[in-house]
Amino acid sequence: MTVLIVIDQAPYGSWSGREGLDMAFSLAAFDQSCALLFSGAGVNWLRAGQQPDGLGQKSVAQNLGAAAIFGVEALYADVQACQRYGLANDAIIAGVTLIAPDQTFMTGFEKVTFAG
Amino acid sequence: MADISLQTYTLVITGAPYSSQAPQTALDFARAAVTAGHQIDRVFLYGDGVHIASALICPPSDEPHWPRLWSEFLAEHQIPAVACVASALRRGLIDSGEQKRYELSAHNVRAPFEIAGLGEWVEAGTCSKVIYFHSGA
Amino acid sequence: MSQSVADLPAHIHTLHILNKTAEHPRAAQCIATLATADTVLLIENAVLSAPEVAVAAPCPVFMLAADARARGLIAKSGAGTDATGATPQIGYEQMVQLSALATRIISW
Repeated sequence: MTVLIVIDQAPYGSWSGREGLDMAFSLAAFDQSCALLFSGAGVNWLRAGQQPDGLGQKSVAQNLGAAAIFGVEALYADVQACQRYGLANDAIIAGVTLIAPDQTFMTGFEKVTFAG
Repeated sequence: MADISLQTYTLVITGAPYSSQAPQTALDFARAAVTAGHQIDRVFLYGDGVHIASALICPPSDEPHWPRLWSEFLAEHQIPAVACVASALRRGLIDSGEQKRYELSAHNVRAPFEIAGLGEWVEAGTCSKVIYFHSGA
Repeated sequence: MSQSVADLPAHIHTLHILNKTAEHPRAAQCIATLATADTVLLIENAVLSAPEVAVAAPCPVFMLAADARARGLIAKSGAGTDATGATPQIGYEQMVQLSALATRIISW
């Protein structure tokens, strides 16, 4: 039983993605199988080289680095959205699987959840 | 024609009152579910949805008072309701326990809402059907 | 204990609850994942996009009557207008029934 948490908001400009990450970490902490999907503007979470110190926020890419340690099973990114935002393979942080979030992909998850 | 078996639902509300329609849609759904004999095992407030638990919201008298309407519904049907502690503390939703812990000047969580961790939401997901009520756009 | 209902699908794999108009990226994402065994329920602002969604969806589409009425999509007589794209209107009671019939529910 895998829960897919979807983050479709860009980082820093809104908090809903961070609340999605909290959901994924909580599931993993309670030994529930879960994965994260970054779609739409949410793929910008995955860009390497984020330096948000000027905003007084922590790097979301750094937060994401803990995903595997917590037990989040996979990080997926919408391949089309990555192209749209100029995220070539070498511009994306490690450990991300590019997919098309179509019907076939979504059917593989018992639950699909947005944080807000 | 279809047979409908009785369900146990958890409602998760992430849309705030007075900036989204989520609290109204969720309340009408909850009333219809209870009337049809289904069980609502808990209501979980997350993100901006925690504002429903505020005891200090004062809408104009000709507008629906969503926090009060929700409190009355929950009390009438003895449904536990929880606001996520991380979402709540960030937004200034404080119960008496958190008031003491952080030495704050007041608390403002409306009964019967309580503050608890995301573990409550994780547990709900394993034993009931979860429906989310998000902010629209 | 069970109750029977008419006019709703007998089985629903995924019930998609959409509350955003069609130009919202999440509405497009919703439509891209629809399968024939699914059902779409348009609520809140999504009722404004009923004709668009009804054409794009490979599965049954319903809309919440209270939301359609509030937004002027239904004549006072109760008859639907072109603005509903002939999408069947249901109440909260049937929203509960759709939810009970569905194996999986996604709120977009």
